[in-house]
Order: sequence, then C-alpha cells, then structure tokens
Amino acid sequence: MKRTGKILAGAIALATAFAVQAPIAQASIDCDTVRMIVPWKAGGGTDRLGRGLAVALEKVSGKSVIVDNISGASSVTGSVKAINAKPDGCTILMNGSTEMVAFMTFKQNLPIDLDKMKYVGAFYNTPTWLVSHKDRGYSSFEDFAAKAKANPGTLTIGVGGATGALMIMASGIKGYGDLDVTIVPYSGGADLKKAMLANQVDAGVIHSPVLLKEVKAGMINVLTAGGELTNIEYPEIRNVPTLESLGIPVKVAAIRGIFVPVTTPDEVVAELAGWLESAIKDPEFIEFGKKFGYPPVWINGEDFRKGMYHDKEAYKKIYEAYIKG
Amino acid sequence: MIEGLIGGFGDVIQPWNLLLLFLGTGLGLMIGALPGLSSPMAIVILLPLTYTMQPLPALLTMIGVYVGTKLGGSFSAILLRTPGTPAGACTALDGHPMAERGEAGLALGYATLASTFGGVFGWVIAITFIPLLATIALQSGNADIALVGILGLLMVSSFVRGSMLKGLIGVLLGLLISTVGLDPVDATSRYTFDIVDLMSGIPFAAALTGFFGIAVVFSDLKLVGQRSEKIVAKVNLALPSMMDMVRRWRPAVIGSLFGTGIGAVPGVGAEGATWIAYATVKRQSKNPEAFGKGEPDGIIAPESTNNATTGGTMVPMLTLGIPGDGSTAIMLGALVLHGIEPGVMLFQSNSDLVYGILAGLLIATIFMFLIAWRAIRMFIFVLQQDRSWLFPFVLLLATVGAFATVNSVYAVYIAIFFGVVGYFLEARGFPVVTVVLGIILGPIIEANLRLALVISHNDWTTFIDTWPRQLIVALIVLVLSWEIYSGTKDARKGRRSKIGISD
Repeated sequence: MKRTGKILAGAIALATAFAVQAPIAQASIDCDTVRMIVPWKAGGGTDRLGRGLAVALEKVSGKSVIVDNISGASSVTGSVKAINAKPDGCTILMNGSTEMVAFMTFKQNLPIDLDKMKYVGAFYNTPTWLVSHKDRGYSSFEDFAAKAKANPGTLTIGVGGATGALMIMASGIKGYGDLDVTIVPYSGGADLKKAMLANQVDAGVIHSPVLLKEVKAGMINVLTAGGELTNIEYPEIRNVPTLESLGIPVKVAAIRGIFVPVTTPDEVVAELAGWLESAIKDPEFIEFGKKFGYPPVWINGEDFRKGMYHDKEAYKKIYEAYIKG
Repeated sequence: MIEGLIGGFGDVIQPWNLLLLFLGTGLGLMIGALPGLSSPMAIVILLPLTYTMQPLPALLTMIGVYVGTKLGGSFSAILLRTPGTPAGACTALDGHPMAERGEAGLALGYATLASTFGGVFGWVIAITFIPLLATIALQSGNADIALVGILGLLMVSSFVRGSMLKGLIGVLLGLLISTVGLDPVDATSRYTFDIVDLMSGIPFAAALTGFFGIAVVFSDLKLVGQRSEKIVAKVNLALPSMMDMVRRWRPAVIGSLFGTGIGAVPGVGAEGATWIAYATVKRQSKNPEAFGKGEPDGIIAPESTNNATTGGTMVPMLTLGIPGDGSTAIMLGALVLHGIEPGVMLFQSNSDLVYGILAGLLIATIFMFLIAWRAIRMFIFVLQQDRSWLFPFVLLLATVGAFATVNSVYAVYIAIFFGVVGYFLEARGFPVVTVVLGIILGPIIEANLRLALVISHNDWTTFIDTWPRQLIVALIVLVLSWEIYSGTKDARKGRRSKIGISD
C-alpha cells in the first residue's frame, strides 16, 4: 500500500513537472527531432552552413536537429522531398535562394516552384564575386573589361556548373557588359577553385567567401561582386564596387534560408522563424559565421520570398537575352 | 618539415588521440567490409559526434575510418565477390577465385599486406614529394585529366575475357550509361525523360552496388543449400609470409605509385586508379593468363593502389583546400565546422594540425594492419557459412548502401536495375567490369575533354602542347598500336585473342 502511494506521488510529481514545462515548450511543433534536409552533398558550402546552423538550432529549440543530405538535380531532388513532407515543422528545407531560382530558370516543368513552399526566413547572405589570379594583372573590373574589349573572343570566365547562379552572373557580365568572352562551365565549385588557383582562366565567378583566404594572401584579386561586400570579414575589400555600381544591372547573392511545405500552418512557421531568429543571435553561431566569412544576418520570411520572386524575374531576363539559343 | 612531423607524431601519440584513431580504423574496416556502406557515409555520421572534440582528435577519427574502409572493402570482395566499397571492386577479380580455391587466408593476407605497404609507401612518397605533388594537383589541366582517362579506358582490353568484341560492347555500354543526365557544358537534358532524378545522371555508386552486389547474388543463387562444401572442405588458413610479399614487390610498388599520383589529382579518385594499376601490372606480367583466376599480384596491385591514394588525396586537401574524393570533401567541411579555414595558407596558419593529420595517417595504416591481421580468421568464418543466409544480408546491405548514395529510394531502383542487367551480361559472357570502367571514366573524360576545348577555343592541339600531354598521348598511341598489332597477329593465326582472362 505504502509503495503504491509512493508511485502515485511520483507520478503526480512527474505530471506536474510536465504541466509546468508545457507552456514554455509551445507545443505547436510536436516532435523530438527536426530533420533539416540539405539538398546538396556533404562537404559543400551549403552543407557546412547547414551543419553550423543545426548546432545553433538545437540550442534554441531544445530539439535534436539532424542534417539529411539528399542531393541531385541541382538540389531539386531534396527540395521536392522536403516541401512534400508532412507540414508539421518537423521536416524543414535549408537551401540557397540563387541555386533554386537559377535552376528553375534553366529548366522548365520542374516539380518545384516558388509558390509551392513557405518561407520561414533567411540567415546568411553571400554575394557572388568575380575574382582573378593576381598573375593575370587585373586589379579592377575596368582592367578586365578593357582587356576583353581589346582582345575579343580570347578571355575566359570560369563558373562552377552550367545551370547555376554563377552561370547567370557570368552571362550577365558578358551580355550587359558587351564583352566577347568565353564562359567555361566547370563541374562544380571545387573544380573552379582549383582552376583559379592554377591560373587556368582569366577570371572566375564564384560565391564569396570562397577563396577569401587566398584573397587575404594576395594570390587572388576581387574585381567586382554581385552584391554588397560590406559585411565580409576582411575590411580591405568591403568597398569593392558591385556590378550595379559599375552600370551592369546584375545582382546575384546566395541567401541561405529555411523553407517548409506550403500547407504548413502559420503558427508552425512562426515558431520556426522564432528559432531561426534566436539561432542567429547565438554567439557561437555568429563566431562560426564570421570564421566562414560573414556574420549571419536575419531576413524575415516575407522579404526572403519577395527577394526570390524578384531574382526569378531578373534571371529570366538574362537567360532569355544572353543564354538561350 | 621533419621537426613538424615529429611534433605531429607527438600530438597523435597522446592516449586519447591514439584511442580515437584506433577506434576509427577498426570501425572503418568493419564499415568497409559491409557492402554498400562507404567511407564518406561513415564520416558524415561521425561528424556530429566530433563537434565537441578538438580539431585534431576529430580529424584523426575520420582519418582512421578513411584508411580502414580502403582495406575493409576488399575483404568482402574476396570472400563474397561483392566489394564493400567501389575502390575494392577490382580486388574481387583475383581475390574471389583464390578464396574459392580454398586460399581465403592467403588472399586476405595479401590484401592486408599490400594495403599496408601501399599506405606506408604512398605516405612516404606523399610526404617526400609534397611540393611536386601539390604542383601536379594544381597544374593538371582538364586536357591532362581527359588524356589520363582515355589511357585508362584503353586498359579495358586487360579485362576482356575471351572476346574483345564483347569487351568493347561492354565499355561502350558503360560510356552510354554515363551520358545520362544534364550535359556538363550546355546543360542539355540527355536521356532524362523529364525525370528529375535522372538529371544528375546515374549515381555510379548505386550502379556498382547493383553490378557487384545484387547481380552477384543472382548468379550465385545456385550455390544456395550447398553450404559452400567445396570451399569448406579445403579452406586453408595459411597466411602469406613476409618473404612472399617481398618477392612480389613489383605490383605493390606500381600500385603505390599509381595510387599516390592519381590520388593527388582531384576528381579522378581511387575507384579508377585501382583498375588502371591492375591493368598495368597484368600487362607487365610474365604470365598474364593467370590473372582473373586467383593470381596474388592481381590482389596486390589494386590493394596497394587504393591505400596509397590516402596519401595522395591529403596533398590537395592540405595544400590547396581542394578535396580529392568524397571523404576528403567532408573532412574539409569538418575543418570549417571547427573554425579552421582550409586553403593555400593551411600549412602556415595551422601547421600543428596539418602535421598531426599526416602523422595520424601513417599510424592509422599501422593500426589497420594490426587489426586486420588479427581479424582475418574471423572474416573467413563468413565464407564457411551457407549462402542461403548470407545472401539476404548482402541484399539488405546493398539496398541500404544504394539508398545512402543519394539518400533516396530512386538509387535503390537504379541498383536493382543494374543488378538485373549485370546478371544477364555476365550470364552471356560480357565482362561486367568493362561496363563499370566506362561508367567511372566516362564522365571524367567527357567533362574534362569538353572543358579543355572550351578553354582552348576549340583548338585540338591543346592536347599535345605540354610535355606531360605529349607523353600521355605517346603512351595512348603505343598501347593502341600494340593492341591492333597483337590482335591482327592472333587473327591471322586463326586463334582468339589471348589478351585477357580467357574462359
């Protein structure tokens, strides 16, 4: 009898403990583990940021956050899987804005579209940049453009991937800048990085802060960027002129954010957004971001969404004018 | 350099670091031996566990797994004819016939000794020639890589069993399969039939799981119920002696050189290197007829190659921040997570860590030897079991492994498809390895050939404008002429081509 009493008391204590905790936990996302789909192979830039973010999200949400790399078809395979998941906030997609939009520009009839998902928010902004090996002797975009104009058809711009945002940016530079240059589509970022270090192309379009270490070492020059570099962890290049300031209307910056299925209830989206916004303020994550090249930045879901629609229109224009056919 | 390395060994010898390295290596051997599970997967899974560690122990754990899987993959290749990892596939050619002859102990022993030799020798070459290898890694242009790929493809004749024609059909089939997906330069969809998954092509690791896992089960089904009597009856636990190994130094040295050199070139990988080394050793052998029937040299060449690649891949990873294969890509990612930015300055900015990693690589190779040598007799136990309960395991692991290549069920369908295709090809006497060689080398050749032409503005002389390229082209011409000469000579004498593993 006594024992039963003890067990009962224990049970009541436990129940009370849960009851006290419940309001804090805000039960709208009801799972212990959040699966964050990163639609790229492990080891790449998006994957590295995703793994850093997962650690920060675990801290603020109290749930375990696992990274699931589902790669293929320029991230479409994994993205489709994520936005068709149960809309309970337990499966989320982490991807970069530019790669999704660029692939949609190149390939029609994809099982993914901007209106098939909801935008939780974004946390990291990396403009693309045009860089060149110092031995090529270009210290500014003007140098490069002048050489290209003087030697039509001879200069090369390397990009990572034939269907990505880097291709859009390079084609925009070529088209709007009226430069007769050859675009060399390497299989991916690592191959392009190698070609840049080996000085095998005149210039390369790559996501900043890739090669930042080499820029700091004076091996690589930054000529121009597809967005402001004001936040980059290297003050010396913060005022590199953007393409827009040079009169070339091309803006390409990969913004990494979180997406969920379009049917996800608003309170779930809000809770996820709350986690993401607090994760960005986590000192360790800020430190991680800075080591990577930039401090994280918060962009709310609505602005993130608008930005991607805007990019889609802009990319389409470049594609129709300078890539198609 | 020497002081740095001594410091590196000093760091690794800390008990905690040694323990992690040892555990990593043991785990790697096990994961490698399980068909379908590979080193990149294991390292990704370990990644979160290493977040809280210091960078060196974290990297040492991964290095252990990386080294261990290279040998583990060949254990299942020898015992089951199903390689545990793509880089172990080549070892099945001679390893499994030896095991069937009852010499599993010898086969596993040769694999272990050759892997250890390759690992150590590759390490020594990598350390000694870091500046040279870093230059090769950096300066190898698309034209060079394309030419090496073509040379590798010519080696296909070494794997042809009986009919050269069937071999050529096989390799062309492989090349054809490798064209599926988006064209690497113009992004035109090829054979994708509007299926999104097919846009990034056939995941070759999944296709390999089909060819070597599922197809092997299909063709060995007839063995079910026999309890492998013919093997059990004469199973020989004898291990090779060190002297046997010393006598066979040539394939080991050739393999190590290929492994280190090709490993250092980003984007070729151990998978291709093993086949090229095997073919070269066979070509140079006094009795090439023995290859494919259980010739120890046919185990030693690929095994020394795949472990030697571990030294090679470290060079671009540590000097340039460029991954040589999937595993090193994840290790580079791990460095970033630990707040260390890999790149050209890593040797200067984090020299302690770099030397620690290099020291760890050598110690992991030694651990691999110690663990594997003890474990050989346990592994042979697998061979003595009835196939009827081995096959479900192989099929299960092949399915899991195929899934894990892209974390998608689609890859399982690919594996099953190629399992069926592989079964019929083998039943009709087509050497499946030639198809695999086409699948592995096709994308490498295509992408690099086309990029080389884009860069040179469609000037084909780019392929002969430096002396290394001229050398490779000369080799290609030489091999090709020899094939044509010996082929026509054989034809005139009215006998079938004796090149390869005649059946």
